This record gives sequence, structure tokens and C-alpha cells, in this order.
Amino acid sequence: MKTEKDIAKIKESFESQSFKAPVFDFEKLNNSPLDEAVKNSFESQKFSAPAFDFGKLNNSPLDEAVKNSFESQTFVAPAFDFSQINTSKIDKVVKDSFEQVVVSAPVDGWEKVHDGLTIGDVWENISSNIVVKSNSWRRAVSVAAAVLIVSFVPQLTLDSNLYEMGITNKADEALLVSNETIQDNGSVESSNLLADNSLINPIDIIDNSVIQNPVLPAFVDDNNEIDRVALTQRHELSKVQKIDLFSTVQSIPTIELQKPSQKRSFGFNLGLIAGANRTWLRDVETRNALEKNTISSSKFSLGGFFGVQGEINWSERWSSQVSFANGNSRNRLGVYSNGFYQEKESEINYLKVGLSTSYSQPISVQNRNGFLKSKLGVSYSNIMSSYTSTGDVLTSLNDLYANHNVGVFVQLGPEFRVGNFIFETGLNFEQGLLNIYNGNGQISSDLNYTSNREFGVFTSIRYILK
Amino acid sequence: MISKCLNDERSAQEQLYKLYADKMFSVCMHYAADREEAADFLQNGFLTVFSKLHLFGFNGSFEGWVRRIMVNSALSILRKKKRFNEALENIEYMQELPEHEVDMELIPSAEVIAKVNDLPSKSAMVLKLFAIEGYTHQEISEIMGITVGTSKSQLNRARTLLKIAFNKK
Repeated sequence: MKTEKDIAKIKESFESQSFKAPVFDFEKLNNSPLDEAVKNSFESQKFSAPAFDFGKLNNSPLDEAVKNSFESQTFVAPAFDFSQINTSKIDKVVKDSFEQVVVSAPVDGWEKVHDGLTIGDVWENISSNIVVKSNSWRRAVSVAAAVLIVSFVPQLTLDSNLYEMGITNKADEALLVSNETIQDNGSVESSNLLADNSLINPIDIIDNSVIQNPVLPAFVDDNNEIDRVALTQRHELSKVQKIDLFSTVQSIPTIELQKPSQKRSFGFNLGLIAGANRTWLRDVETRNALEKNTISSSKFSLGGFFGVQGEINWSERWSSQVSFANGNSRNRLGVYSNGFYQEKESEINYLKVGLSTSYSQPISVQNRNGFLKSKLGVSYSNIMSSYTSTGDVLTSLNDLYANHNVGVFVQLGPEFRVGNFIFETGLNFEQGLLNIYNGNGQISSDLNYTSNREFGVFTSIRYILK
Repeated sequence: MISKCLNDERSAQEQLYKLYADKMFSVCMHYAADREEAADFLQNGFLTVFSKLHLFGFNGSFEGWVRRIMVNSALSILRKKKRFNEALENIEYMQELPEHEVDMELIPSAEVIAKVNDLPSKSAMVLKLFAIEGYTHQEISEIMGITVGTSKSQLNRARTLLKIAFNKK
């Protein structure tokens, strides 16, 4: 037992000992002579790869089976549908059907072509250097006419009110008229008219300048396609000229030169007319003053009218008008009474119907929307009210003048068409044909022959109804 | 008359217009949506005729030359209106043809015209140019700005749809 104890103790003693292993020198591992020898031995050996038998590649049983399977298949092509190709029958039916139908050309077809040819001639006649005259005078006349219209409407209305009262207060009247005038001058109507003058339609111009190739007309104006068209040098030159022309015209303020002419035929238009006139009521005193037979003097007096006007165009040149207007004529005379200078003023207010016929002459070959219009007509006036005053004293009211008057008038001036609107202005002259003096109990009507005379300007804006 | 027209004599031009106006208006109607549009084609066409009269070579039918100008005039305007560029309508293109076809020659002309005009615009245009005017696919392709292949396929499509339309009756 003691021996076993001793052995155990010895074992424990040995096992309690610990020894540290020396560090392995890994660098020596590959450099040992044995390793080197082994390495060299293996590397000195050479093995050749067996030759690959390519013949066996396509001849594998599987490949063969696939190949044979596909080759044994036969496909039958579907029958060609010859009904699809034998279509001349359809084409013939379509052609015959379309050609059997003959439709009459429009009645006014030639007129349109004629107008187009006229425009074409105009293009030919236009030189490459265009000098466009200023048309600022037209704007000035437009503005002046618009001002006249808006100025006279309130004035006439105010006058009527005063006459009903039987009292004229010149200072108040002048103030009120002035206020009204200022307010109405701000109307946008005049600016609209001017804006209309600047309308331009470049598409029309481009359309007119497209050079048509007889076979391929559509592509000459198409930049993407132009290389496909065999243009002659002549075509190219004319195209360039017209494009230059367009760019020149685009910067000028008028459009009449480029707009296609619109031949006027039968139609109606309706609108407003107004005017301002230097007026006379030519009685014995006034005639003597005008002929310098007395020391009395004829003073400037202004009258005006406004109303509606309708027009019927019978043809491009001839038309008739009818107008209904409210207006007045005044006469002022400087007279000496008992050594004192006084002004004698007379006025008649009337409703007038005018009938006239006019002839329109185109202003130029190029511009078929502008005309010089001369008009001759007759008028009937129903004198609604009248008065005569000397100084500030009313001496007569609604009893000195007759109720009816007849006159003749002539008008001359330009007329322009802008879109559906007609703008006309010009000079107006009217002469009364009847003695409108009624007599005052002291002087009979035969001894004081009195007629009205008016000379001034008028303007009219009308809308084309047809 | 042509030589007088070349001298810009209005009376001769008017005579020439009146001689061909109805025929050419009928041609214009083939391509127009309504009379108004056809009148535009006619006016544009005659203006081209008179302005390009010096290019007529006197070696073919004058009427044919005028007709060709009318058609080109119409196509020119339609091209500007972009009518060629309309999307192709989705209609049953691949329908099978019926087994028993009707004899198209027995169909009234008005019906044929109506059916043709009901076709998709591009197909109808190709059909008209090919069948009525005798244009080649090359010419049609140049005029309409499409490929020759498209022209052929549109023609085939037009014919097929037309057959279907008539056999549906």
C-alpha cells in the first residue's frame, strides 16, 4: 500500500511539472534539404495530357438523336391567300365609285381665284426694296374723329336740357361740357381702333409665299423636307426674296399691303355716325354781315350731330346709306344795338334722316381695303326746338323757325376696312333748301329767307353684318 | 388657250377655270372633309396651275397635269393641317375575312365612297392616291412623308378593312 502511495506521489510530482515547448522556426520548414529535394523531384516530373478525341464530340448518341429528330420533321407552308394580292378589283371599284360623282364647283370659285391672281400680280409688281409711306396721319384722323364723337354726345344732351329750362347759363354749360369731355376722352374706343390697325396675319403671308412644286408642293416650305425637293435655282431665288419681303413687312405698322383683297359684294353694315360742323342759319342779317353790307359780323359757331347709319353695298363700288341723327345748327352774329355790341345767337335742334348714294374708289391697287368714298344725298330734318337770344336774354323759344327742313349734302373721305369693321371719315357739306324762318309777327317769313348751311367733318364706325 | 393664259389674260384663265372647275372640284372633294375645304383646295390648286403653267411640258395630258396639281394642292393643305399625323385608329385590323364575299361591283358608288371615307385617314389617303390617282408607293411615301413599306401596309390595310366592311353587311 505504501508502494502505491509512493507511486501516486511520484506520478503527481511528475504531472505537476510543466515544460514549455521551444518556439518552432517556421522559416526552416521550407528550407530543409529534404523538402527541397522532394520539391525538386516532383517538379522534374513531366506529364503529357492525353489527346482529346474531337470526333467523339458530335457523335454522342444524344446529339445524334436530336439532329435526326429535327431533320426528320417536314413543315408544309400555309397556302398563300391570293385574294389578298388580287386586289385590283377593290381598287377599280373605289376608283369608279369616286369618279362617278361629279360635284359642281362653287359659284364664286372663279372670283376667289381671280382675287388670288390679282394678289399674285401684286407680288410680282412689288420690288425688293419697299418704301412704305407713313400712315400716322390715319391714326391722327382716327383719334381726332373719336374725340369729336365723344365730345359732342354730352354737349348735345346738355343743350337739350337747358333749352327745356328756357335759360342758358354759359358758364355752367362750359364747365359741365369740359368735365364730360375729359371723362369721355379716356374711353378705350380710340385705342381699340388703333390696335386694330396693327393686326397682321403672318400665316396669310407665308401661305402666299409658299412656292409650289407641281409634283411635291407641300414640302418646299418644310425645312425638314426641303432637300428632297428638286428645286430649280429660280424657285430658290423667289423663295428667298419673298421671305426677305416678309421679314421687312413684319416690322412696319400697316398690313394692307399683305392682306388678301376682299372684294366687296352685296352686304349690309350698321354703326354710328357723328360729326362736327361750322354752321350758319343764313337769315337776312347774317347774309348782309357776310357780304359786308353792315357793321355786323358773323361769328364762328359750331354744331354737331350723332346717330346711327346703315349701309347697303350693291357692288364693290356702289352703295347706299341711310342715317338717323340728332343734331343742331347754330348761328352767332355780332350786332350793334343802340350803340352797344351784343351777340345774337340762334339755334335749331333737329332729328334728321339722310339718304345717300356713294361711289368708292380703291385708294391703291395693292390696298383693296381702303377706298376714297364720295357721297351724295338728301336729308329731311324735323326741327324739334329752337331759340334765339341776344346777349343773355332769350328773345324767342320754339316759335321762330319752321318744323321741317330739307337739304342736300355731299361727303368725301377715306373708308377703311379692318376685319369686320368699317371706319369712315371725311368732309361734310350740307345746304338747306327750304326757308325755315317762320316769321315773328313783325317780319314775315318771305322777307327773312333763312336757310341752314353746314361745313365740317364726320366720322362713322360700322360693323359688317353680312 | 394655254398660251393666252401664259400671257396672263384673265378671260382665257377664266375659260380654263370653267372648263376644269367641276371636274377638279370633284377631285378635291375626294380629299376634303366638306365643300368649304374642297373650295380651298380648288382655289389653291388653280392658283398653282396658273402660276406654274409655264412648267407644263405639252407632252402629256393637260387635264392629268391639272389633276395632279389639284391633288397635291389638297395634300399640301392637309399636311399643314396635320391631318396625316392623326393617330391610327384602333380597329379590328386582324379580323379574318368572311368565307363568302359579296360582289363589290354590285355595291352602290355612294356606299363605296362612304366606306372608303370611314377608313382610318392614313389608310384611306393611301388607297385614294394609289387606286384613284395612280400614284406609286414611292410617290405616296414622298408625298405623305412615310416609308414605302408603310405605304404598302396602309394600302393593304385599307383593302382588308374595306372588304370586311362590305362583307359585314
